[in-house]
Amino acid sequence: MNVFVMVDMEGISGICCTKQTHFVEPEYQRARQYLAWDVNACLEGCMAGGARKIVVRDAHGRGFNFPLDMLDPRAEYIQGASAAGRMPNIGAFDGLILVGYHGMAGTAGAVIDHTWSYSWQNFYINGRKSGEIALEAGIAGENGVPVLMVSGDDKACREAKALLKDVITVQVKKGLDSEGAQLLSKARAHQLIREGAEQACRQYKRFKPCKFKAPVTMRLEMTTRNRIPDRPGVKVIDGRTYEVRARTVEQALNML
Amino acid sequence: MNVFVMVDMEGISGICRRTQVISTEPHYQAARKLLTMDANACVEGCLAGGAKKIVVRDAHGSGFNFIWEDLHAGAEYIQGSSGRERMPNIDDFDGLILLGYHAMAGVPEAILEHTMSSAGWQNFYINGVKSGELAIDAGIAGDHGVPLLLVSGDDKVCKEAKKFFKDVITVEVKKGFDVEGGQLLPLPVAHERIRKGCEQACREYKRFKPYKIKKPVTMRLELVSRGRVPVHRPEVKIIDGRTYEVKARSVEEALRML
Repeated sequence: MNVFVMVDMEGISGICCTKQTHFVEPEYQRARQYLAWDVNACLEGCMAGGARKIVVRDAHGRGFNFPLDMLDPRAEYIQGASAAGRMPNIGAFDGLILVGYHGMAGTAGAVIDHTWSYSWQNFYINGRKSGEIALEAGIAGENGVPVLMVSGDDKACREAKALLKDVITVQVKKGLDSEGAQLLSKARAHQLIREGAEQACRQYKRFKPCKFKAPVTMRLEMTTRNRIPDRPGVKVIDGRTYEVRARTVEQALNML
Repeated sequence: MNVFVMVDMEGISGICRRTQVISTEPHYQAARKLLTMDANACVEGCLAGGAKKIVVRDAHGSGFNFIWEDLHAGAEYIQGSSGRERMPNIDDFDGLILLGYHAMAGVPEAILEHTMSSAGWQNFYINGVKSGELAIDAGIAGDHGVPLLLVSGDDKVCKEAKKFFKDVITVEVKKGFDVEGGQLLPLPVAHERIRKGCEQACREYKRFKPYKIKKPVTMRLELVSRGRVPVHRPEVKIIDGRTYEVKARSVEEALRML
């Protein structure tokens, strides 16, 4: 089977503070190693679970966080921007794994909770308050690809379970605050990721793609005023809130 | 048994200077390794003494000092903010260990002595008794029925611990000669003492009594400078231009009001 892996940073094992996820901060360089270790643990699990082709996308910030020299040579890696879609060629894969994801903006006690950008306050897909897990699941889902596994803190795991009943969740930390957590040790966290990814790939046939009803309506409330885009297709709700509508999740997202 | 460990930095083995405990200073990165080694020695000792669940909180500054990847695999670690509670879920634990602690503000020849904030706090009293961080943290755990088992740090913090908590185990890893100087044990010796002490603490945990502070809890804080007393908060009793008092039902609640 073939698996696509999206990797964010806030839910990576060992990460508990914003400064670890921001490339200008000194702590960021150490945290890039944490990112690579989680990816490698995931890949080991995927290979053990029978995955043949694995593509991993660096999906945090500008997508330029992986230390390539530390990564498992058995996968290929997408870094930087992608005009070819958020998950290029996703239709050729049997499952999606989300590594290092985080709770949506506003989740209490979630490590570095946010949705997409710190300028997003509240975000809804078809009226349901959503975060990045729903966005990724929706994009893969409309291409017929299910989410197999999500790793992150307890809040990201809870959010994943609420949306994707059958998903495997790997909790590598317990959020205590947006800037603090109870962390598993390195060995324990990596073991859980490995085991989860192996199980996910072995059982990939039992998962169902996440489908959002078309047309997809996205409503975005920003944290500040004067940011509503002046574009056709944008429905202004109030001074900080607007809506877009499209045939797919990915198209709607691109309109925001 | 389950044990909760709070780790401060000033009383860590090998630390004797201010530049080792401030994240922007040149000696800090090396001192983080010392911190992580003391934490690991503690976890090893706790496991040898029969501890099942060990949670270790990085409690210095903003709580971001451990080198996570070098920490012992046998525990979980709290880093960053712990939210509303200073010791989350402390009720689930049988004992508290204070590792790398330091003497209260004003103690002569104590390494990096202070109470909570070296720049802000001059004198601090709980129910009229001059107190430091040992009493605060032992008091918070004590309110939940959890006893203090062990304190590590310099000779001055050990003396303070013995004065407040008769039965506590103290592990002296250095002798203070000045705020910024001391006689340090070699690291292997210091780590062995921590390991042995923590093993004994966990093995004998049933003999310790929680430190109970009488309710209501009154905290009086004298600040080091003027113009900082929270004059606009009605729950605060102003004593003088640098001193105020708060009163609450628990140690943690009073602490939050300061």
